[in-house]
Amino acid sequence: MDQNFLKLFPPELQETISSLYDVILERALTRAYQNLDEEKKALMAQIFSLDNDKAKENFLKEYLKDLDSLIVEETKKILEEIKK
Amino acid sequence: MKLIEDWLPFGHLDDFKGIDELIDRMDENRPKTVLTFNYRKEKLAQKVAQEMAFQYKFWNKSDGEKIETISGFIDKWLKDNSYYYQGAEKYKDLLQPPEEMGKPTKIEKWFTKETSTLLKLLGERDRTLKQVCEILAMEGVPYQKEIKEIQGEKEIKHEVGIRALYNQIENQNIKRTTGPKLRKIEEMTKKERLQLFTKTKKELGVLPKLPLKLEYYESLVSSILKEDPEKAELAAICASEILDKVNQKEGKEQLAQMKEKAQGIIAKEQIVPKPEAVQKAKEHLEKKKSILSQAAGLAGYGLLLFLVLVLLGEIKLGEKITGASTNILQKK
Repeated sequence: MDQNFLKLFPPELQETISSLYDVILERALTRAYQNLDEEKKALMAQIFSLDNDKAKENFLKEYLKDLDSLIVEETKKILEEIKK
Repeated sequence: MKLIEDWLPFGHLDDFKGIDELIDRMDENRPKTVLTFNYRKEKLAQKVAQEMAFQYKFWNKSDGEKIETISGFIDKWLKDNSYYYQGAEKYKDLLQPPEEMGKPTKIEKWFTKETSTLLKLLGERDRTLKQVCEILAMEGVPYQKEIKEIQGEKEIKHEVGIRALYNQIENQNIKRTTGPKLRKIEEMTKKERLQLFTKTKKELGVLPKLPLKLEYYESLVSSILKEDPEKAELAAICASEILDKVNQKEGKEQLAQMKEKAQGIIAKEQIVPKPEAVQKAKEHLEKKKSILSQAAGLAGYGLLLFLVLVLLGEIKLGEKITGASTNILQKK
């Protein structure tokens, strides 16, 4: 997460927030990955193991379009978990 | 009035229609004993107009529609339905010498006009227009912008920049000081403009009351994602202000509890195996700062922001409830 944004949070929460962000991103990406068919999953593994940022960007744009909404959903879930 | 103040920070979500309707109902429910009713109503209308300008970038409408709404609101509540503006108009009629006294002299005309102008300053219309113009300039809204509309065979031009509001200022002294101020803001760098915006918002703006509704943050995040980076900076400014407020009273113990829970979730998540493709995609998103600042970073930032704020908001509310119940128990 962008360091400047992180500075907005209380200092004692910054590290936790940064890690929470990682969890959210991971969960959202896992869900997006699980929504792909086997062929695309293999393609994703192949593209992201290469050193080609343009191909990675194209893949994100083409096949992981709903990543933003998945991030929203996963953040809500995390919120619920913390509140329990 | 309390309902309006609570809804005000989210006014742009329904184009300020709800607030407009509530002000409409204020007269019907006017308390008989409150002598300052008209003054408070005038101040409230001024606050709403200012907030329209503060929320301009988040307001999902065209420039034309937004300028028209602001202008219409100011006209409706600070002119047509303003106790002070209309009072000054009535006083102007009273000051006119009766017809049987013959045609008014130049001095009589001047005196009537000047007295009415002075009386209008008891209201807030022109001062509000000046403030709104300045706030919009701080947000980078262009002074001069026109859109063309074809009606039949005619091409009609509509002003949709700040000038449309500036031209409505009636008081010449206020108008004279507004022009140079707008030019000064226009000449500032983007950073300077945003700094001035932050300062002005702190002085005049309305902050949402905690705890906040999740839907508000969702809307904030989606508007950040859709729009320009400047809007993200504005969101960061608003967020920083909210956090400043939250930080003033947060309970360390409750905060530690929240942190502990969050860390529990993080620890559990670390042992869940992730497909390699997901790990690599995550690394890619985290590595590329440019992508982070344009998409995932902003989304993540916004969402975590609402997460933490809601949590802190609830902690604060929780503290109050706990405090109140302890007091009751102690009294018993």
